[in-house]
Amino acid sequence: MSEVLFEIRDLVKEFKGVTALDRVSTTIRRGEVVFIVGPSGSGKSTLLRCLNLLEIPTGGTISFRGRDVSTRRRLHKFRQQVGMVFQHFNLFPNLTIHRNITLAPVRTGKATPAEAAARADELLERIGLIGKKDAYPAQLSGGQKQRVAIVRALAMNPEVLLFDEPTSALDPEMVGEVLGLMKDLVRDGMTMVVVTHEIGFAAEVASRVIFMDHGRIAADGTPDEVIRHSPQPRIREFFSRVL
Amino acid sequence: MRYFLLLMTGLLLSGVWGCSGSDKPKLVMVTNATFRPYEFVSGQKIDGIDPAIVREIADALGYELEIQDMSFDSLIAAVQSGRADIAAAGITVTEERKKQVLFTDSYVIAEQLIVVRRDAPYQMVADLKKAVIGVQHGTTGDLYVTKNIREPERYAHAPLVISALLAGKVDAAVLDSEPARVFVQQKAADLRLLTVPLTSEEYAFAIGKHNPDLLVRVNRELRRLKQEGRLDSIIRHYRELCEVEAEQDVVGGHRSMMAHLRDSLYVNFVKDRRYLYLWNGFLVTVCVTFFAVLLGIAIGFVVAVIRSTADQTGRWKAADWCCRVYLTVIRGTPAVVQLLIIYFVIFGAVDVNKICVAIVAFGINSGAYVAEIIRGGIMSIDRGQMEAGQSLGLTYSQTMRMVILPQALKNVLPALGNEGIVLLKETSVSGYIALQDLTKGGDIIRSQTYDAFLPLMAVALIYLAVVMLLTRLLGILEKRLKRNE
Ligand SMILES: Nc1ncnc2c1ncn2[C@@H]1O[C@H](COP(=O)(O)OP(=O)(O)O)[C@@H](O)[C@H]1O
Ligand SMILES: [Mg+2]
Repeated sequence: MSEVLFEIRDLVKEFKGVTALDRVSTTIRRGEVVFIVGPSGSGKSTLLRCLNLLEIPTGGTISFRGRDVSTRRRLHKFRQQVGMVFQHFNLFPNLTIHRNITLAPVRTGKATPAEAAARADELLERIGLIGKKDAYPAQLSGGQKQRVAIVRALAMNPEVLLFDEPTSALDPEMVGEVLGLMKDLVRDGMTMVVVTHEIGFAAEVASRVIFMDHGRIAADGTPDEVIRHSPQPRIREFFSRVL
Repeated sequence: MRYFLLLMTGLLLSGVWGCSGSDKPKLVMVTNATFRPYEFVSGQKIDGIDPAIVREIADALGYELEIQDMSFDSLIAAVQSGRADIAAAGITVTEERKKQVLFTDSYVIAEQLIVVRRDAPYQMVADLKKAVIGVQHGTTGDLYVTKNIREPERYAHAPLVISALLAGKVDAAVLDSEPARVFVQQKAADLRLLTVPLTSEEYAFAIGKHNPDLLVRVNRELRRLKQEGRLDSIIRHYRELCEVEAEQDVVGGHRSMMAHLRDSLYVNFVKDRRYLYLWNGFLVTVCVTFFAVLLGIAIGFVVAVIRSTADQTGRWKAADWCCRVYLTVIRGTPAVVQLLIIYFVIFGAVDVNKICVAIVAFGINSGAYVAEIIRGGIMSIDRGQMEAGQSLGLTYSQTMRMVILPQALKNVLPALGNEGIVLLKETSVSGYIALQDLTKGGDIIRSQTYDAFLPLMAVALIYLAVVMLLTRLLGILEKRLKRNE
């Protein structure tokens, strides 16, 4: 079996009285493509955001490659190894597309400006947006923005990429291009954790599916086990509605 | 832009170091130079009976004399606090003032006279019971009228009282006899004096209670000047000088409107190079505003970053608390009051250039408003921006510097520009610490020509022109920034 990246034990997250995560435990290994699905408000985003400590857990432990990160002090060093793609892209509107991509590698010391620029060109070439390198985010379509956001995260050469509903804010005709890029990443062997409502896509590319309900993991297994043949009526009913 | 900065810095520095002199000990005299013939601004210098007498005394005692101009009601405080050694401004000896300062022997007996419009029915003091009376704030005329007749209208200086009288805002003006005579002579067609004085009183110099030694020495010199007849000749010299000038400044009665306007323009702006008061005042105003804006932005920036960081991360609690106190105090008190406190209390004992005091005061004042503007700008940036920066492995401060602040500043640029414009106008209260800014320049012209209209209009037009120019530049800048989106 491949190396363990995330080891999550009894993770609890409470927001002023609301328990968003209730003793969640799971393991994510290198090369896995884990999809997190479930009803709205079940804690999917919270779990994902705890993985790179954008949310600080109120209980339990998260270790990354064998090291407890919830007590780590220099969080940015840890976050450099974990990329994240947001529902609303969160590109930096004050910077060009090219600068959006090179900013973090240069400022964190991961690459020289020249290396970062070459890598950004290569990534933009790959997603066919090299012609937009000097444009600003506001000049791009939603699908283009999300693909730039993905390669911006890739430019840091992360160990794992987290996606929080990457296609939910897109017009339907743009969903395909983003899913296409994600599929390419799967083929390249990228470790990915994806929160999505695109169940068909999950069934197609996931190596594992986690079903969340009321802040707990209700099922954790292969797409077949969770999406198609779950023994739990509540889960079967959920998928029959969305598929 | 760079040349402009250089120019401004030069202006500031020449102001700061321009006043160094010989190594004789300094005697600082304060006065309010709007009281002919006792003290008035002539060219760029303060001249008159009081400066001339004090200069003779200072010379005899081996001091180098430095004269500072300030509002009349601040004079007593200035010698009390030790900012100044001697106040010489036609100050009347009263029991109240004696409690606060030491008075020298008197050098003049003056009367409070009543000036009315030529066509007004008043003849005696008793007729004034129902009249609206104008006085100069803080003078004995003010005290006497308040106590014995009725609550007066109080103006900042004597020429304003006369302007108010001419404009029909008050029915009578109570003024010291010397300036009253000069005014009436200048506007003989419109004004007259009541023959009986309201009261008579003694003028003396005021010295701080901590300095009885100086009092003894000044009194000795005063006695000598009296014996030598020098005192009388000084007083006579300035009375005559002012009477001659007053005749020259009279803008005559029965001419066409155009000719009248032309004469007024000449007297107010051209004669004796009076336009220099406006020009120099304008430079001071621009200089103070420019550096105060820079200081304000620097302070505001730091405060806004501290406040937002404390809000978002819970760090820097103590610094945040200090910032809150700063914001509450500065935004809860008027700028004039802050200016006076900084001048008299904080810089009370040390001798600093007034331009610097004004820059510091207005910079600190503006910083509070700028801080809230910038903080609003930071708060208006979507939380996702900070999350995206941090998820890429940038630190909080890196994301702040490279992502959040550039966007926030761009968003608040119009508001910052507005703050600059507000500040420009706010500096017009600099006259309270006798800094000769644009507004004060207009005041000085008015104190010489007794014309309230033209100098005020000129000052207003200059402010308006600067504000319109700034608004225009700001618009261009905004448009240029919008282009990258
Ligand atoms: N910042 C927050 N403050 C308060 N409550 C929150 C916050 N974020 C999430 N929650 C609550 O936590 C629960 C889980 O939310 P979330 O993880 O966003 O669910 P999902 O992504 O599955 O829709 C919800 O009840 C939500 O209201
Ligand atoms: Mg969600």
